[in-house]
Amino acid sequence: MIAALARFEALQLRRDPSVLVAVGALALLLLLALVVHLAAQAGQQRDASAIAAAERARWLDQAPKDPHSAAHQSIYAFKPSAPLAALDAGVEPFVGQAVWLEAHVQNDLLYRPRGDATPLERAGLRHPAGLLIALAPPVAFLLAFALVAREREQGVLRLSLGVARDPLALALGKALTLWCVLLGVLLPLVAVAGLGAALDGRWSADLGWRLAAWSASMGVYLAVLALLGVGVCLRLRSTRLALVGLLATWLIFTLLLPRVAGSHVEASLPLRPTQAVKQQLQDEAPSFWTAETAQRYEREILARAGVASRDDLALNYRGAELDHAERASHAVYDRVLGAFYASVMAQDAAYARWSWLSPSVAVQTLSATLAGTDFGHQLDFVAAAEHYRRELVNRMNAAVMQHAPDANGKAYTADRAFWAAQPPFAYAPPPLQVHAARLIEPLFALAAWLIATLVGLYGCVRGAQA
Amino acid sequence: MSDASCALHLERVCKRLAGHEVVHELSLQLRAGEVYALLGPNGAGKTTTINLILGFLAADSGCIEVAGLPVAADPLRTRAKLAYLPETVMLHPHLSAVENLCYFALLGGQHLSTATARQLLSEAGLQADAHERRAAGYSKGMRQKVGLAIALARRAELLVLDEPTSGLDAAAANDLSRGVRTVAQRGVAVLMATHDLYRVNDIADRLGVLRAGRLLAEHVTAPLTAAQVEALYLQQLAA
Repeated sequence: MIAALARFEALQLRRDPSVLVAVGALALLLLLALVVHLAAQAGQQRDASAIAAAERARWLDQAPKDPHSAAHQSIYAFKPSAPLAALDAGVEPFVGQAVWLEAHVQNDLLYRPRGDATPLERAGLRHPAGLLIALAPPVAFLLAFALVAREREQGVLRLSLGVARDPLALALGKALTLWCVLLGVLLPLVAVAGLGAALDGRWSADLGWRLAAWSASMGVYLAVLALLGVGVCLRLRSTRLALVGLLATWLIFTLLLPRVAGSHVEASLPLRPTQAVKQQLQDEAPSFWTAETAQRYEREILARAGVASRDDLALNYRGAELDHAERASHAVYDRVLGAFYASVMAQDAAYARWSWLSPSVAVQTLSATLAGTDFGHQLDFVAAAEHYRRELVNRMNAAVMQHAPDANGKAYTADRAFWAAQPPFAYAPPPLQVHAARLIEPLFALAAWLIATLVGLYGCVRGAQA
Repeated sequence: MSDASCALHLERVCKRLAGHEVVHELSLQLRAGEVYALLGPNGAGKTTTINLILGFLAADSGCIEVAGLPVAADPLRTRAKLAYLPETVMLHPHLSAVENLCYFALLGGQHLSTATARQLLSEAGLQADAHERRAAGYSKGMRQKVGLAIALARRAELLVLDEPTSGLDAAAANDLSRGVRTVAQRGVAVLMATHDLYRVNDIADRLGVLRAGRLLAEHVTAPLTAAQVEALYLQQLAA
């Protein structure tokens, strides 16, 4: 019965397309944003691939030299943009896409033009997901207004409620119609995003799951909006009140609460200033060390080898010193940067907790995680790049350690064969299940919103008057 | 408790709105097939009484039963037993009469075929060439006829009409009156709030005069002429 009622509602919307103009405009805007971002993403990927190839060639073509010097010459590692980043860029524009891998230092990622963006921009407003999250509510509420409040004004709703055997079916029929119209905006977006990934040769089962889950989350969000819109229009007994109520609902859930959430998180879980973190790293894991530090290293190296002097070492002392200093820095980076990254993740978790107060926050959090562009996914790349850096530098230092200077005192130099033996950096993002834990709270919150709006609609129908 | 043949039973119903008592100890009964006209000036409580019967408002005290079912306990089930025509029947402007009828019948839980819908519209007096036209261009009389067809489709035991002939020309009002009698002849009880004193004795079997929420008197209309109805009405209001 609800579906049959929805068909009549849809028939009316089709014959009175004025309200559908807003839906069409939103659909066009989203598709335009998606196509622009897909094109930009493809361009970035081409550039990144070309630069990565040039970097590899530069690495291979370097002149014979001391391996530790090669570790300083080093290379860039590029983070491939997530296949669904064109849908939701998440934090990608703010955390950079490339990192310079060199001895002694775990560098920050580069190429983050939006590093000083506002919290609203951090929410991804310029991407299809952000646009959909922010603009679907007014469009949904406009449709709800046409389907309910305008009918009340025309006097049709009084007759409908007077004859309805089950007014909830009437309300659900309207909400279903509205939801189907909104799905008409969502589904082309999903299809184009999937097609874009497939044409780019990046389709995978994991991507399929991510896209399906992303679509389902957005679908639930749109259902919540449809139920909210119809419920508000039924509950508020004049068109003026309904309009004010719908506008207030949009402003509170979509604009106000996410902003308040961001401010609250920043205030309650402040991050250490980046400069302070860098200074601590410089103090505790210096790239260049003092004579006192060199003496300490020597004592530690000799003690570990169980010998009394450098001459008794079976290794090249310089290489051993470089290796010792390098490995000592790893613990510092893990501790200091690890704590910093953990605090960013704690901020994200605290922000996600606001999902219980706003469905927009819930779907925003879900969208970025499912698209593979949240900070958790970024950390995967940071960890992979750092792991590669450590392996590479350790191998360079090992080569120095294993080769004593020749009879003339000339240091060992490695050549192209050695450079080619080092594997290039390749990054494969982990599958969705690795990040599933972060999805649980916003997912439950969104489900709770769906149930709450359904129950709320039932209450609105019971209290509705023509 | 009402008897089984009683389509509508009100027993000492009271309702206050914004501090004013708009319905005071109202009691009345309608049998199946009976047409009852509720007369009264503006503000007499006619529309409030209808809203109470429809379950749009809850009575402060007293009891309302439709076809033996208490409205307060189960407004949705009682609403299924009745059909309601507001003073101005407003239809979905972008749907035709057939589509409107099918839609409202569906809301009442009935799936109508197009053929059945056309037949009901014809029975309600709507010309065949208007059946497929969009309701946006309908006159008030045409909309009222579609409303009557909706009532017919529901096979309700009680039809509630709020000022059904208000704003209709004489021909349209006559058409509607005939439609109402047709419905009543099928055994449907009809409660009609109206100002139309001149048509009451053509349509109604009984009339009641309401003033300030109180039922002042009830009369059988059969022996009365229109002029006598008017005289009685004015006499009751002046008393």
